[in-house]
Amino acid sequence: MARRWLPPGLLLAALVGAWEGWVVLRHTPAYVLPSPGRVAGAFADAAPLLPAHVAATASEAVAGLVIGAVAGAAIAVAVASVPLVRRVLEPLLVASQTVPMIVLAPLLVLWFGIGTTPKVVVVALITFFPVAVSTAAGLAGADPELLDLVRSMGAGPAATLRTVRFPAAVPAFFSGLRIAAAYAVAGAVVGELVAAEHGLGVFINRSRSSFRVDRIFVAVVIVAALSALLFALVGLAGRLAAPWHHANRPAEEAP
Amino acid sequence: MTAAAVAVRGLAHRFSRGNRVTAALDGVDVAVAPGELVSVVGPSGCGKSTLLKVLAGVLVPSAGTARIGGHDVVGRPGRAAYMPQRDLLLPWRRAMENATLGCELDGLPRGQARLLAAPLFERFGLAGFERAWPSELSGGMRQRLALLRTFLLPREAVLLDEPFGALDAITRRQMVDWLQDIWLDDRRASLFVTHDVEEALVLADRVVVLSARPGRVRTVVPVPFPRPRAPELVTDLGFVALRRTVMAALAPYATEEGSSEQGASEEGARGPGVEPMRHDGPMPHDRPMRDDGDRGRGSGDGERGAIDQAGVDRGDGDDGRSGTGGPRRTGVGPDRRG
Ligand SMILES: Nc1ncnc2c1ncn2[C@@H]1O[C@H](COP(=O)(O)OP(=O)(O)OP(=O)(O)O)[C@@H](O)[C@H]1O
Ligand SMILES: [Mg+2]
Repeated sequence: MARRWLPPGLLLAALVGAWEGWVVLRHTPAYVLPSPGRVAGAFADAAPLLPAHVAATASEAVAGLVIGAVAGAAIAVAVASVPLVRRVLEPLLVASQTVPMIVLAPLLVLWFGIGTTPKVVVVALITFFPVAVSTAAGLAGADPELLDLVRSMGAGPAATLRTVRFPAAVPAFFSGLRIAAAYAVAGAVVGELVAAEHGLGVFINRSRSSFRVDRIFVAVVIVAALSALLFALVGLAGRLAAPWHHANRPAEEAP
Repeated sequence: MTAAAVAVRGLAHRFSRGNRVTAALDGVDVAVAPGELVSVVGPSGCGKSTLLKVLAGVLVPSAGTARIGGHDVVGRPGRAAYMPQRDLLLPWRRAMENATLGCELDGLPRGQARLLAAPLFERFGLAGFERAWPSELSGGMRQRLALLRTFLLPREAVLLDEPFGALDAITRRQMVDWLQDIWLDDRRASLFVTHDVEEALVLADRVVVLSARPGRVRTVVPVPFPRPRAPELVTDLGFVALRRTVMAALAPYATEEGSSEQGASEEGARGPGVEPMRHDGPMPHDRPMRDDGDRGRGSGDGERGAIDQAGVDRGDGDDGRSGTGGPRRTGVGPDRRG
């Protein structure tokens, strides 16, 4: 464990040190670039305000991620099992990803109001895609000989899906979901930046209008930490859901 | 006709990929009587796996019929307990759940399937590994688990595709003896594909020898030795003679595979298959099997046993399947000599 986290930890410490040094040596004003020390101070100082914002952003991110994951998996199943659906949907799905969220978010606010809904929709729209692509590949990539085997035992399409295709796609689903998790929090913040009552996006907007750049940095650090946490949780869930996939890994990893 | 548990007639299959056509099988007749174990040997790529896939119902052949217990199985899976060439365990199921996969698909409740499978773990040398993931098992254990899964399926016929192909020679020998025991308890009509002639002879009542691609039945060699067959049997003179017979039927085609592939393979039934025999030595060993006149050349009592069995075989060619293969080939012989 220590060995795994030491190198990135050292690098991070070095970067923070360089940042601090830069700010001190160049006498950079705090409204342009606050020093890490100042950011830490702002963190302590904003602490009472933060829990409500963090809770709002986190719950939007998780809700959106869950919806995105379910929608992505459902689309993947449809695409993998019905060739017509695949032909119709595939180009549209790719096209859907070319619309920047920053353009879409104001429209969503227009349609769904300034509550939680538009943020959840933004997150779902961002996250369904990697899940759908990865899961579809997993479903299609099931070993054809395994499929023959269960068919030889008398399995129909439904039983084949259940015994081979689904389990074969579980690791792929989770690797798509991990990518999605990394973007989910940022997606929620984009939605909040447009219009919201709570959330880190609101916190950022307010900090900006009061020239508290140090607080913006606090928000950035929290977004990064939340994303990393969500990413790790999805990874853990993946391990629990596909224990066979990792059955012979821990032994290799042990130093 | 109805007596055969497994009956394949006039089976031909061509794989086409784009404009590349591979003829894998051509006019194959094979029959397995109830309680009989028939080995299939042939050079690599001659269509052995293709034959079993057709019987398993997962590959629709270009021509021919395939029946199990009188039921047409072409494109209709579910009649045979099929073990593919790779062990193909489901990586996401523990050993026990892999074993019970077939029973589960049959609609048997999980608990009941487990009760059926549990005693077999001991028998298949897997006791204590019920909860292991396939990735935690050795190659031999994986093969035994795949066999367990296959034998556990209540089907009329068993199809085994090179079950020991991936194992080392020593493990293989042990597994053959062990499989014989298992099969003796079970006695289901079985087709056993292998490229090991000794293995084929030790296990089988009859050995079907296929030619190089496209596979055709070159000869069917009855194996008369009583069961259970001891490991020492392989040194028995009669066994050695039979082995030579099978090797002789195999060898020319194995070495001539390159030339027989040169486009000619699609031609008439006799073309490429017969050609290589002409200039090959070991043929006389093949003769005693079919021509009584050549009996004297055999290497003793063992050979005689084989001849007797050959007679029986022709007699009980109940459905005429093995019979049709025989006489036609004998017909080719004299022409060539005369
Ligand atoms: N799906 C496929 N598409 C195209 N050609 C195929 C396919 N499967 C098999 N073949 C070809 O058909 C021929 C027979 O294949 P098959 O697997 O039945 O051989 P085999 O006798 O089982 O060989 P081996 O002893 O090496 O397992 C081979 O030449 C192979 O290249
Ligand atoms: Mg094969």
